[in-house]
Amino acid sequence: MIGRRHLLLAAFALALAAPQPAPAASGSAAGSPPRHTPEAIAAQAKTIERTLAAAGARVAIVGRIGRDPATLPKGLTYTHVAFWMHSTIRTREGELLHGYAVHNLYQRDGEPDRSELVQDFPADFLSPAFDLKVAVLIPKPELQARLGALISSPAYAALHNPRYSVVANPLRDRYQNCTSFVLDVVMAALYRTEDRRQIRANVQAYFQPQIVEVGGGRRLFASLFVPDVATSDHDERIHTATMEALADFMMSQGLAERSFEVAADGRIQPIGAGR
Amino acid sequence: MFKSTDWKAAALGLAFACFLTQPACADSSPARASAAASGSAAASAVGITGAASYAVGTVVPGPVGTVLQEGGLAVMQDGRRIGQAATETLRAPLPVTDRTVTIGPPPAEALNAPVEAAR
Repeated sequence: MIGRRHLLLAAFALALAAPQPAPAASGSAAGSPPRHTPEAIAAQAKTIERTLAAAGARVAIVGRIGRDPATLPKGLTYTHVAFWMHSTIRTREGELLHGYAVHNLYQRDGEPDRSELVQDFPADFLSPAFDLKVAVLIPKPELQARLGALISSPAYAALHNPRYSVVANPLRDRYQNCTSFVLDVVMAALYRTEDRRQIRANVQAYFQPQIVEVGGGRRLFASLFVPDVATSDHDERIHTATMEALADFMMSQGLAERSFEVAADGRIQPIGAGR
Repeated sequence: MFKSTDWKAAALGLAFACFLTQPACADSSPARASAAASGSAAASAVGITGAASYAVGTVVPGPVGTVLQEGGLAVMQDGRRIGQAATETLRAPLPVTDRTVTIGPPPAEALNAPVEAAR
């Protein structure tokens, strides 16, 4: 009888300890090998660039699907969000090209509870994607102008908090992930301030984060044993910034002109279509 | 009629109930904070020896004589100083930062606001 009880306890512990997908957003430059061919990645990257350029987007916010959405908590699809900024790019050969540079906050390799700001290009952005579909937010032209100026200034890096949590609470300043960083940069540009407390006050007043449904046992286990999951900045429920919440905020507040998805086959569709 | 074993069981039960109602961590209980803040030299002196016990709202002095024998007058004086410092800390005005954080206008207004009015 005692042996059976021990077996039950062991089974329960193993169930808790079983590998679980991280609950929400994460972005890293490296990771598992690409699921898509280089040709498919390059073609989709160019499709997105042309779509943005046709829309007159000098700065856009783009989200990628880094993990199978079926393994993510309900309502979450996009696991990495970054700024795409139209730029003149000089190649190694000295040639000048016109296209988009991507400005990311990525988890550090080998140090997943820390992040760094990395500038790469559309193909790099898509390379680790689970699905080549992306979500796009095109800010209003005035906000694009302010974002472009901010991203090109030292104030951009000053808004970065390197303490990373996959489920960083955007209402607090303790941790940051890629999406809450994008939100902070948007708020900094919008309110023309670099003061983090001022940014936080406006985020708290106007931004509605997404509630992530994570069971208590899984939350406790993840916060104890998964280095990039910190839940100490949350109360009973986990609130985090997601591409979906960012799109709702920017569209409802009149900050974005358009939001849409570019499907893997290049079709333009509303965010959330086909789910 | 109760048997002697019933009384023993009741006593054990009562003791266990008392045990359950004790604060889990006396160091962080409000009683300790109020004792330190009271400035009572005896309570503070006893407090720093770790020999104090607290009841809710009341400072129960420990064996002060024993403290004096073990730690001497220096312990008492140190305790008085710590108690006084704690009291002064609590009486000190709370710092208020000069820089104010105010909620800005709604985002759509901020986007269209003149530069100086955006925040």
